[in-house]
Amino acid sequence: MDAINSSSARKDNLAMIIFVAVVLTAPLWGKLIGAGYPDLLQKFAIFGLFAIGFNLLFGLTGYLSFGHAVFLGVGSYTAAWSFKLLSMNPIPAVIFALLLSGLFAAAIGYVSLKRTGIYFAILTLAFAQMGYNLAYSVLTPITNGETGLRVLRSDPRIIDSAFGVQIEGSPIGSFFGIEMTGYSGFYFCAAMLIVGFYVALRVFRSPFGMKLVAIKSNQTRMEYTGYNPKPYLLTVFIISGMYAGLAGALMVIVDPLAGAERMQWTASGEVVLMTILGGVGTLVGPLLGAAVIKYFENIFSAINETVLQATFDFLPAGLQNFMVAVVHPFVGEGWHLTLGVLFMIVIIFMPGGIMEGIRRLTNWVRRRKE
Amino acid sequence: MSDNDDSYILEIIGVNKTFGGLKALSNINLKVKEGSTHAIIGPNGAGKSTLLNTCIAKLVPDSGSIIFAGRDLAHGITPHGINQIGVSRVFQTPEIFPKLSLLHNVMIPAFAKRDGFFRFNLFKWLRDEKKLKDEAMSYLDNLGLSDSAEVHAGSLSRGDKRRLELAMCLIQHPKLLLLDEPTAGMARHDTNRTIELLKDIREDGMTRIIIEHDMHVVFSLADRISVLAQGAIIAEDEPEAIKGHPGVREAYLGSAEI
Amino acid sequence: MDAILIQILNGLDKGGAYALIALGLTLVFGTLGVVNFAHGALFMLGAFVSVTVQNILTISRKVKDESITFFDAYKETPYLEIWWGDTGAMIIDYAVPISIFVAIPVMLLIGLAMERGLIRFFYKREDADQILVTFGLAIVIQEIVKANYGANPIPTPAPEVVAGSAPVGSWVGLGADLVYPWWRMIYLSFALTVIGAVFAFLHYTTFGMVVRAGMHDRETVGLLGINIERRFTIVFGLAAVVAGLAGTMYTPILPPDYHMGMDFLVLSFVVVVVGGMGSLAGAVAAGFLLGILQSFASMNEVKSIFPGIDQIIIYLVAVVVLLVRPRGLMGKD
Repeated sequence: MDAINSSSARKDNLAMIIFVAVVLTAPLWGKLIGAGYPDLLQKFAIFGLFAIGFNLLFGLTGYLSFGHAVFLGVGSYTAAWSFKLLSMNPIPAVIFALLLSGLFAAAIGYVSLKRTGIYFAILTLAFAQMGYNLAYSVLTPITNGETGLRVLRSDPRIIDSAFGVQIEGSPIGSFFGIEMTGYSGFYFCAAMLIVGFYVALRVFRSPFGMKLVAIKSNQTRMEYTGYNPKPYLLTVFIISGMYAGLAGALMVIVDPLAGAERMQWTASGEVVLMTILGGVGTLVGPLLGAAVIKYFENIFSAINETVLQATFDFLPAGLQNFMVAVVHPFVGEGWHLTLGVLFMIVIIFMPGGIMEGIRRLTNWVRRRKE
Repeated sequence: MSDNDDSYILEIIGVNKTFGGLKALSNINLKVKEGSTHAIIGPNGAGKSTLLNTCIAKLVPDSGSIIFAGRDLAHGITPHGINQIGVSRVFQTPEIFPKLSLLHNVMIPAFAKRDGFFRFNLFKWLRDEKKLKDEAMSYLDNLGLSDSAEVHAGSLSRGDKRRLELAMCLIQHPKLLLLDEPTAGMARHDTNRTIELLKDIREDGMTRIIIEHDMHVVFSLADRISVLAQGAIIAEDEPEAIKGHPGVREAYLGSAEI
Repeated sequence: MDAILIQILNGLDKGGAYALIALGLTLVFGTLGVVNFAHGALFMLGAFVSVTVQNILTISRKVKDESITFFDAYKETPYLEIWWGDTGAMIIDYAVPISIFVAIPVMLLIGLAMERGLIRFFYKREDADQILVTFGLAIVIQEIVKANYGANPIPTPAPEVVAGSAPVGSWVGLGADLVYPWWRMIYLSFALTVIGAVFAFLHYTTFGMVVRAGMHDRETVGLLGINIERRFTIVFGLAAVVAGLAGTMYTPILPPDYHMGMDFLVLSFVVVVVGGMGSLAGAVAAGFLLGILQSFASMNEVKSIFPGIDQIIIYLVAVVVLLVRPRGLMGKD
């Protein structure tokens, strides 16, 4: 069932209210599941936005972009430069990041959308690799290459200095005096996430969104029905790129550093995984997928051999060592292995992701009741 | 009806199409009068579908032109452009949106009719489009599909898919409707219903070109019939005359169609 | 003139690797219709066959070092040297060429297992699913390799005899400055041999003819009552062997690390797209062409005019080709 089909004003309003409540109370329920750190919650929100935006493109139109991380990078660098040149206020950083990533998306999308299917995937991948390679080489004056772009105390910051804002210590994003670290940083991201989610909801529930699904469903019929699919696809590609740009900017806002590794194609792959794990083409799924992955990344990558030994302490020694040996490659440094295995399992057995799982479960429960 | 009337809406002039040495269409000339129903019949592989494909920019003819309402459909026009000037087509294998509900399947062409080939209506609620929805429902109703309005189109039977596609075309009120075997795969009962429906919508002034193997359908609907064999038109006349045409019998008796 | 020749030579061995990977990639795409994002991982696995063979040959134990007399010193000495002395040392020296004979059966098995165990379930799924599941597999393979071999490149030298460079310049009368490493030359000839063998196999055996017919029109061949599925499984194994051999022999040129597969894969995709998806000759031609182009782009004279061109030339070519000739240089409709 596509999310487009089930829409009523009351349901949507209710969903929105619940969503806002859940996001704003994240520090509370985060504690219950051991995710009560602002750093992690910020990641939920940031990658959630990234995935929601990616899903607007992939989920609605079926166009698989393998280069979305490039917009993440553009957003990050733009925000960092806004911090360096204008002000430590996140608002101009967000605005410029949106504009610039939108511009990049327009250019890359215009070219890539001339092709479909695997050719589209490879084109976007080629563009992303170009961006990544350039950021590491020629564009070093802008990106500061391997070291990454840092925001320094000595940067000009015209707006800040015009208002006589001084910076003590290392520069930190500051929303009219509120420092963008810890929970205030999270709440800034959360506000962006809520806006982003609402925009996605509107796209899903609009005639525009329905037409995007129609393009995915049967592009030939779409053309013989009088539509030119290209501007539709380009529009949603740009929007999707802007989400990525916003996510990139937020990364810099909560931690003023931008590095090229953010543009690597593994990063593009990660957002695909988040979206698929959560549920392609659903509203909440991608956000859920992003949160699950970041949550387990946080837990799994912290586990080392000592922790494992302690965990399997209750077993007899031989079995304990065996279990440690089995589990060890999947945790700590090996987190990516877990991610890869998860990726395959989801695509093989559960192409609908978590949302599909939930739906099946509720159907099953409902049937049992009857 | 007389031939010296000038109100032709579609004029196919000297169209040729070759596929790797095989002559698919050779020097086709065809004039279709506005508001009429023109049937194209002929054995399999005679070039009927190829001819329709050249009318919707799916194929570009090697030579010749196809003039519809003053514009050449053969050159310099996109598929969506052709639809926007009033040409709709029912395909031989139904082209619908399998992942959308029937209602949305019919609403999409209605949007295209209203909004043109692109409209940035990103932040309009779909649910506020009541008028369009009602219109779509009435078309589904006309084709006996309103009970399954919320069902995914992909789950329909082949015959129902055809009727859905017909509804999708009709809601656009096209000036020219191209029907490629609109009743193939339908049960006799459904075929008759479709014939009745197509008869009913005649009053619109819609011109129709119909490709059909079922002679019952052809003779129920057509005002004029062209017979295509091996890429060429071998006869064109009114139904009664075609029935007795010797060349037609010959062309058909070779195959097992009639 | 010398400079140009040098760049062409430098491009050829890399181009050979591209061509070999792209050949398998396009063979699999053409026959099975699957875009295999794990194909780079096969190349990487081939390289690690070399590493493993080298590791096995150099299994050693501590032996008293007789050359040091004033205290008891021990050094790691491979069993092979202990048993067979100089002959053993020579075997170790030839670890990379020896690996070829190990790589063929190993890669064939891996390929068959991959196709039977995973890929075949995805023939009827959407493009996106095929891309994603093989992408996931690529991650898994590379992480397993990382867990077992570490993250650092592992040097696997070529045999001592061919360690130096060939005086190509003096051969063709162009001055002694023009030299070309022996191993690269060996790699190039090896690549050409493998390519030739694959083409001969496809053109002169009944099996190959059926496969080529299947690439052309799968349904018709299926209708002839030929069990095309089974042949395609073998094709996948063949592609795995070709990619693996490309990796095995490449190790002296580039010490293998766990992510070399991904690096080469992205480039090989571009090669396949430029050559024309499904065109074997196109893949080979584009592989060499792009290798040479890349080599030219990294000349200082070129870089001073177009800074950074060496980093993006291949992608740029791909974008232009996809837009101007969507079917690629040699692709058919």
